[in-house]
Amino acid sequence: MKRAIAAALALAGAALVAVLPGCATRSDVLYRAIADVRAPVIPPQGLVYTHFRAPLALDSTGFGSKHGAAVSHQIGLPPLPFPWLYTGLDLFSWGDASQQTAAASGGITKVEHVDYDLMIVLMVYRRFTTEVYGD
Amino acid sequence: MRGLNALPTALACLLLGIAGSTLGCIAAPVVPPIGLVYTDLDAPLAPRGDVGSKRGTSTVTSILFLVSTGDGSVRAAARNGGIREVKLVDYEYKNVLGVFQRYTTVVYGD
Repeated sequence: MKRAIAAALALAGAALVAVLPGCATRSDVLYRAIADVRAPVIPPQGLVYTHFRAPLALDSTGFGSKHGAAVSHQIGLPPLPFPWLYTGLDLFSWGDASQQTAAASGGITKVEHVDYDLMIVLMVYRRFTTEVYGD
Repeated sequence: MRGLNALPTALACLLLGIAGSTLGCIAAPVVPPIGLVYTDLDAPLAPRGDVGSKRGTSTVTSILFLVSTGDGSVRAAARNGGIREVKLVDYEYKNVLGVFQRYTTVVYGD
């Protein structure tokens, strides 16, 4: 009984320690593990469902009149419960989310601004869309 | 029996901690110290010299680490504020025990 309580306290303590560095620093590795995304801004994600848009470019001033998008998909095993051990197990990945493709799809020759759209379902399926604005 | 129940509880704690550490926070170029219990902060995304006269926001909301939705793009924030020329970009982040989290992109301009 006492050992079980001690073990519970130790694990809870470990959980707290796991929380603290994740919060105090911007841990790119952890975020890459979960979302497999490298972006300047990543809003909080959900374990079950995530679908948000966030900026990719922060230095832009205008948007232009046209819009283009390019999509890539990925299916992999969720990195939990030990996200720091590996950066996700990506099994299948297809699509082309490059800025070039996004600009071409919208007929854009001068890119003014770039956002991204990220959807994650059950941490297994991820869809990353590059949204390009310009003229 | 009670001893047996302690282990699943502890494991749940650990999993929640891991989930919190990976999902519970945001990534941004500048992140001020964040509180575990309550956080409400404003920080710069794109610091510039000029502010402009208009302000627009766009938000992403996350509930219980489970579901996260919203359009937090700069484009949406500018559209919401009727801004054609972006001057300065900040963000706001609010977190109440992970139960409720809100990320907001704030755009200033004309």
